[in-house]
Amino acid sequence: MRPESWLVTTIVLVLGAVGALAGFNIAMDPYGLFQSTEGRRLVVYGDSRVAKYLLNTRYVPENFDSILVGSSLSANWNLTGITKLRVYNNSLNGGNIVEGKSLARSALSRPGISTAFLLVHPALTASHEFETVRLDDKLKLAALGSLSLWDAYKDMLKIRLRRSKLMFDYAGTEDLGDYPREMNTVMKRLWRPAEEFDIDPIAHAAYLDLVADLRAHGVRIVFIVPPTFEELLHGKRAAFDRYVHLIQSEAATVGDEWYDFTGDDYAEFRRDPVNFGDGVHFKPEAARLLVAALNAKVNDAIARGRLR
Amino acid sequence: MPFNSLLYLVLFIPIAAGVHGLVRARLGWPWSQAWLLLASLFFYAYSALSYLPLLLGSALFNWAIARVMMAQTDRARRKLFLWIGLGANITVLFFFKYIHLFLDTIVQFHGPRLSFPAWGFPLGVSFYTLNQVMYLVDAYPRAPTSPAARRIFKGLAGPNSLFDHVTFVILFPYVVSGPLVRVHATVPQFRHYGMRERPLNLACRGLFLFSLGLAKKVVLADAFAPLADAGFGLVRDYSMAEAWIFCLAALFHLYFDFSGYSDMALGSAWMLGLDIPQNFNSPLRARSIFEFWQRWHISLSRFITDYLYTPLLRSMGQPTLATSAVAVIVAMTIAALWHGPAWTFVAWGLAHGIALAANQVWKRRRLSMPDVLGWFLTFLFLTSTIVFLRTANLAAAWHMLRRLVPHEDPFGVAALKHLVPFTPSVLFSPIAIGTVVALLFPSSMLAAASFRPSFRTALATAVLVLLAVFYINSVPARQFVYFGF
Repeated sequence: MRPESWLVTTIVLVLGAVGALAGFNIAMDPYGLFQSTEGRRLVVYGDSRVAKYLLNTRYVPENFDSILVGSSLSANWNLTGITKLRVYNNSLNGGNIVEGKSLARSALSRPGISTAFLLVHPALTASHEFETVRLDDKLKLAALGSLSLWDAYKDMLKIRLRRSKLMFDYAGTEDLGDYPREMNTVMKRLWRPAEEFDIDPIAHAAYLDLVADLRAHGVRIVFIVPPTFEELLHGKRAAFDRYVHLIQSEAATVGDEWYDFTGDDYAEFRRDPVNFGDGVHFKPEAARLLVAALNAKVNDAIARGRLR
Repeated sequence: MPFNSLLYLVLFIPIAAGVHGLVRARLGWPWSQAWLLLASLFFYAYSALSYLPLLLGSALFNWAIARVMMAQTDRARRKLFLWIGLGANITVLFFFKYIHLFLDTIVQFHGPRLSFPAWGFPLGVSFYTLNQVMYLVDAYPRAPTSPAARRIFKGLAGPNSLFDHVTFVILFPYVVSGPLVRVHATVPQFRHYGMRERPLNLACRGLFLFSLGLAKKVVLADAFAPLADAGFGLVRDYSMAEAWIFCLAALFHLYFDFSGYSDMALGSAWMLGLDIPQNFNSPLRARSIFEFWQRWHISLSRFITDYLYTPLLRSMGQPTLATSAVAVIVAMTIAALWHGPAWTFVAWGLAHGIALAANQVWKRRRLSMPDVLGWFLTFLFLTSTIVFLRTANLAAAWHMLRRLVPHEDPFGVAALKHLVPFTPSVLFSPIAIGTVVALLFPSSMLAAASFRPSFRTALATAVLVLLAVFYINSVPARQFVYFGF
């Protein structure tokens, strides 16, 4: 073969293969990036962070009007139980507010989101690192062909062949299971006896940034202080209250909704160990009760014209 | 602009090589060299614009001092200018690389705590400084010995034009991390093709080698990196098996990273019709430490031999086994310190120097051992001494070295099981494939040497490029290890 022919053949082979691969992935479109997503029910496959980031690019703003920014504490809240809003659960297992902010920014890049539910919990501001990959616009290129997409296809195939269980629903709810577990090391560190909760300054700034971003986009904000098992909360109650007060004074305004599940109204819920898998995460039935309570509050706020 | 970025792969190298080939064919020299200079300036400025003045200043200074030095008829004055030049280069390296190590060491010996601003680490400073040290030393003799050198260093007026010198210093295939190049082997190629092969054929061979290097870096090296990073990130009480696995991961990571980089550098140079030195030749298959240094970072080994070891040996009078042992230990220690400003690097150099000295004694006494045993001992030595290159200080290195010998629960995998899946699929992972490639496959240089333009090689190149693009698009690019040296 002449060198000229070799060079042309190689370039044609590379371009052909890249084109074929990208074409296949555009046709499959598991993250709803390339075709209209209206009416489609897309679920998380592969790396949940990558998948949720990409789903937020188009699928979430086209199919939902609200998002929840949270961590594993809210990952199993099935928000389809909120009847008057269509809420996508953007909670990330082990996630922090920096990751949550990336997801929210992705969702806000298109019109559609009018309400954001924002968890108020020290777990969100304890760290600022990205758990797996950096969640930014470069990931959109990864949807054309990458290892994370390969993992997503493997995941999809295993689920279709019933060799694996579907862990997420179309609204981003994660199935965390229903077994009592020991608290993970991150939560143990967070709830260890101490005067204050650790606040990562970068995460703290990101929280305030996110709130400012949401306001700039005209998004109504609903702050949620989730319940914690009373015995655990009691040991660090003063520090928790100071943390909540700090966020409230810095981030919330009079026009925002503020749902606090650490008050007296929910003391009974918090005292019942059956509600908590490990003291902080909720068992499915408890998560359902919590979403029902949220639904009631949201309906009330809509009736009063504070949410729409 | 790293070689393993889509920007380099898709835009920079095709444009740089394509335009260079066209300009060289249509307009010839000096336009082709002007294009090389322009492309190289863009390449460097894109990554490290703030350090470009230092690079250009260094090139200008070395060019000027070489001219002044060569204009001297008196040998003593020439020597004086040589030492001024060498001193200035070493001073630049000292202030950018070693000043903080120096100040910290003063404090450790109960001296005063002095501060110095953190100027950062200029990209490629270790490499372009050594290239120019070689340039000055090569320019020092009054009468150049080789015909090629005579062509360049003709007359007393000057060794090179400024145009030639700046192009030589900043040429993008090697400016950041080598290989180390000599002026008399490089500059003539700006005017005349250095290889007998047809330029387009050489460019195809270059693309083939580049694709091999790219795959080595993004598929194999970057697969070993997380394992090595996790193992050495926070040295814990690993079992013996875990400690060895982390060391092996670090060794394979370094090998694939730097040899992949060197393949890409040489491949890029071939795409421009230039030939630069080969840097790796299956070093992990070496049967002695001496052979290892003939196969690992070959251009640096030549520098150590020609510019450190030999002058040191000569300075000690009549060469004996003892003086050559001392010279090799000192030379390796200096070369190790060049790699990084830490006492762990000095320890690594000392270990390799002592091993090379022992190897000299072994050879001089005509002792022998089976090849397999020689390979095994060499590999064991390389794997264990990698500890010095990956740990933050000597205490951490010592802790890790102690983990390498049997202690309680020698085969425990408590730390490892979170990092590597203990399933049959691990046998098909890049880690397993990389281990086989490093130890059993022919070197990429050998593969490139036997390259013939055919559909098979076109397909292989396309598959490698596609695989690499797939990986580049998947995970954030990891910086080359030697960018930090």
